[in-house]
Amino acid sequence: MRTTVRRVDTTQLLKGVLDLAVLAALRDEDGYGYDILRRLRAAGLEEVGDASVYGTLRRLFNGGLLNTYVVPSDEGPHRKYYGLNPAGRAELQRSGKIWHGFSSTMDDLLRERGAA
Amino acid sequence: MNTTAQDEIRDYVEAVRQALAGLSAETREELLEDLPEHLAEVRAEGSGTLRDRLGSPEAYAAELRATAGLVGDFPEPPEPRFPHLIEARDNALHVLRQVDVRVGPVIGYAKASDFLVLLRPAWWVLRGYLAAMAIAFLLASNHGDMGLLPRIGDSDLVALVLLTGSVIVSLALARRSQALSRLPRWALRAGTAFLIIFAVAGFAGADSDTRNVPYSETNYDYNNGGNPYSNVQDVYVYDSQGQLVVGARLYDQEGNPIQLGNNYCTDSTGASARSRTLGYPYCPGDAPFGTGESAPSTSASAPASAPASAPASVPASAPVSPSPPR
Repeated sequence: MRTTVRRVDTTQLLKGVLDLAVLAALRDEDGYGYDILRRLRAAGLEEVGDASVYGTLRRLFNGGLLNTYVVPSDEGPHRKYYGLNPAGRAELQRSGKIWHGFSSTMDDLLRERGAA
Repeated sequence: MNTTAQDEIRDYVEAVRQALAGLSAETREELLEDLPEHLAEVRAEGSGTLRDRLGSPEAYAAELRATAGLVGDFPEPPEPRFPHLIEARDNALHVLRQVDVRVGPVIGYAKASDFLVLLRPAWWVLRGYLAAMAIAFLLASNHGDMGLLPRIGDSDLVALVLLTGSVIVSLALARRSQALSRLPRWALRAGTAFLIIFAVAGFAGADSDTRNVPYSETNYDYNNGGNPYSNVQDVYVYDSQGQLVVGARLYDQEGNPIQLGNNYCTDSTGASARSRTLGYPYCPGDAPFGTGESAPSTSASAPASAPASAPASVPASAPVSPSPPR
């Protein structure tokens, strides 16, 4: 068997929390795909790719967590907006709690051992 | 949005679709359903082509596949179908390379394969010969009687022409095999495999033919280590006058009596009885050249008592049998 020591990198971490990040980006305001990508990057998640956001939106929508509507635009193409439905808000709360618990555990662990 | 942008988007989506081949069509279409609209939004947001801003369609597809994965619905790229076989093949190749390098210096080359490469033209000639033999074998009516030349209809001339032609074709194929496309190359390999099997079978046949002389009555017993005279049933000795010697005794150089045949005689009625004569022949009545009375060299009035005149002419002779011929 091959063993790999996996270094923590943001891309890897992002995979686990991308759903939560997109849900969080939509908490206060509906948005369309590229808009959401900009919000995530502005929040500091520079590594997020467009395909990731697009794919995640498709998946969350298919999973029944988002509603969607099209907004016509005078200049440029129509925009497909996504927003949280009640199921999406419930999921955001649940996943958010799990994340808080996990991240504070990691914080404590790192602080106790003097690693951070 | 102008036409150029639409073309760009369509091309990009198509390339992503290609890169997602391997997903089920349903999953793929579901993933791509909104992509043209999405890319149109992206395209409208800033400057630069989609490739500049999003990277290659293949990378985009890979990211999509990785992040949009519904559990179990987005399989990883397929594993090799027979990982054990591939591993075994790699191991075997590794061992072969080791042997190649180790054996080479023993026979005076850097690698054993260097030497084998030098043998290639010899193989091409041999291949031509084998092909000629195979052709002759398939065309010949008498498969067992071909010999070592590709004879068709027992003709040496045809054999030589066929042999020369086959060798030339084989050499020409060797020169051109590098330039062959896939299908002819596989056909050539299959043909070579057939020739090798044919050659092994032919060699085994020729080998066993050489070892086993065909069966025949006389040397069958000899080959089995038996007595070469075991088919001799009686011995008839004739003297210089053509007279049958009766009651002859045979000895070898050690003075040991030579036992040949059996002393049972079959008379004209077909009944078998033990011979009463001592010495050869057991059955004078069966003498192949007669008893000598009618021989031209002897007088017609020669007495029937041939034995009486015979003893002196029997070398190393035994006593004359007292018993008269039947």
